[in-house]
Amino acid sequence: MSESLNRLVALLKEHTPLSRHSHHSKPWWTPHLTILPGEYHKATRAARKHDTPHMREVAGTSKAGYFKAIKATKNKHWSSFLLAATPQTLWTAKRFAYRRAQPRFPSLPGAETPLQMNTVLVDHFFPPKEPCSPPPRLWPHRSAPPLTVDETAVALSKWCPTSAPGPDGIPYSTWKQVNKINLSILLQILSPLVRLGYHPASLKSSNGVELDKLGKPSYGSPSSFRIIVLIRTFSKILERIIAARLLTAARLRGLLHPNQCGSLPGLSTYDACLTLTNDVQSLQRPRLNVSSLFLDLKAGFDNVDNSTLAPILREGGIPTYLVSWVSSFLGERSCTLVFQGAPGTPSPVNVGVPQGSPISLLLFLLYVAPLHFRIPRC
Amino acid sequence: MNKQPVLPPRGQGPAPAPALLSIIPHNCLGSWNVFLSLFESFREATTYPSIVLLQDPPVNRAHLPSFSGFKSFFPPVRKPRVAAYLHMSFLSNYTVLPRFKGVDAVLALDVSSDEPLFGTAFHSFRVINAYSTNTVDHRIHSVPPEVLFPDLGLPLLVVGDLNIHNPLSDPLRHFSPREILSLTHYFEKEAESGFALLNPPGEYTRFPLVGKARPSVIDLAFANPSLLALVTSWEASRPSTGFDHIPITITLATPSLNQKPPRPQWADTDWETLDTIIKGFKARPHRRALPPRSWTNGCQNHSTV
Repeated sequence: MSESLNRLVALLKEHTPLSRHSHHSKPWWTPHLTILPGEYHKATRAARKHDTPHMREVAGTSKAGYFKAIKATKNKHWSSFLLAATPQTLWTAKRFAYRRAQPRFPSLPGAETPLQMNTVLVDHFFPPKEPCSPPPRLWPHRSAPPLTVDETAVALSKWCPTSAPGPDGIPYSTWKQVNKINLSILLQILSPLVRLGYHPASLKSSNGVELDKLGKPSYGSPSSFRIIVLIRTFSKILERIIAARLLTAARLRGLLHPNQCGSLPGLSTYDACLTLTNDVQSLQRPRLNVSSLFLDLKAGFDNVDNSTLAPILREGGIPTYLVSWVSSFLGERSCTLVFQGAPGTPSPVNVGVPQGSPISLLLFLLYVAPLHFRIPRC
Repeated sequence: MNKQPVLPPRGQGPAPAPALLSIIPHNCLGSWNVFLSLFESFREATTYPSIVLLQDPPVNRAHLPSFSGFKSFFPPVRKPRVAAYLHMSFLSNYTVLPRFKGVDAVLALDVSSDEPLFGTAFHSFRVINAYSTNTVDHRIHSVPPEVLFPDLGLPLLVVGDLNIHNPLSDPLRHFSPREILSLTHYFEKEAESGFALLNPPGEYTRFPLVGKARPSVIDLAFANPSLLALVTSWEASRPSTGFDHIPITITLATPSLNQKPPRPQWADTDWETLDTIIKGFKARPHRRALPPRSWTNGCQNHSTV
């Protein structure tokens, strides 16, 4: 699989031009502005040579005309950009309108070099944990339904083309185009992985982009920062396919509590709020005392343990190929922290579900589902 | 029938040749004209400097001016006294961590790479940019010597307008005993940490525009022992920016010969050419692993034949 994927990626890169740094790229510049400085310099030279009031006036007018033209062109470009703004470009417009604040760089006590800083942050975000047991020998699962063209098409259709790509930098639009030209490529590469219940290590590397939390009094602690994990887009296609299959299997076997709202298709946090309001009001009507208890699971995603999740899935009757795939997906992951000055060294991650993955939400829900079922009913 | 010429794939481009690392420190006196004059002068040169270190940069509402092709770093204060402008091609090859030493007039840049730099065992080096001001009687300097000359096990370059007159860089200057006394702790710390002055003796960096004051050398550059052998040149040959300070160019050896290729522009992929290739693309079929018994038997047969 890795060999085929590498060959495909190499092919795509070979036919893609490389980015170039340009010092002269001004999107608002027009051919008219290219002519104006010439006229301005010509008039200035003539004024210097002849030194008459008329010539000086012409030079002054040319100079003012040039700078006014720049200002007017910039304003016109900005107005037309705003007029043509779409939901996708809205944040770009905001970025231009308000000057971007200087990003805060981690300055952590006891971390003098970038390597030390990386170590402190990795230990905070991914607490060291004993690696899981080595993966079992791979064998094809006969029960695994074959991957279909529709499944890959649906998985690809849900992505926004501007979503941030992972370490390889390949956006969804590229895979969409590849799938449009040849429907069987993704199928050929992904089918063996589904059949074997396996997620290869090459797809498990990710970038952890560090962002500063707003409004913190000081930024001298790792807790003042958070990370978003960027996974390879190709990996996410498979993750979405498996997530769809796992959701169907979990619902069939009743592994998700009926009251579970949010992170599930058709059930949002809005539904949870309505249910709570309804329950409270219906109990208040017969003048009963009502209390609500809210729990916030701190760092929930980061503490999902693979060795606990696998038995939950297995005992819940989830097909073995899906259990095997989930175990493989969560084990032996690596993440490279990305911040200004980061050394770019990958660090092993042995605990938690990656935050940027489409299957992480579902895995977390299945992980905490026993909590729902153990709440005593009054 | 004429054969269509076969064009090379667009993704393959020659990688730019790795260049020496040029660093330009300059005092702007908070002037936008000086800033523009300095950066516009780069356009005339064939290559852009990798790092531009400014003292007293122009500031407008806590923001510094931007210049195409450079990314700026400055201390997070309302009026930063120092700033660094790094060329984008330099930033794409190395990771740079700006560090603020708790003083708004000092900025340290930790440049690192995943491979050894300068052909040495070091994976990173540090550049410190400082703007030290002093009282009229030279008694109190705003940047203490401990911040300027740290004991660091990395190659370290210290540059800036330190407002310190060094007898080694300006041998003809008359130093009053009081001035010598106020600077002693700087020279002691400098010598203790093994720093060497890069300024050639008698090469002036400041020419006062008004008054009768003589030219002086207050824009100093120091290298610690780990970096000293890697300094290629110190020059004050750049055109004037209209201010009394002269821009200086310090050149270091090429940090790394392996330049990272630029990122692909995925929006411009040549799908027309790829269309036929992708249509005929076949993934290699998955090879089933042999069961252990077959593998053992196979090995035994092979070794006994």
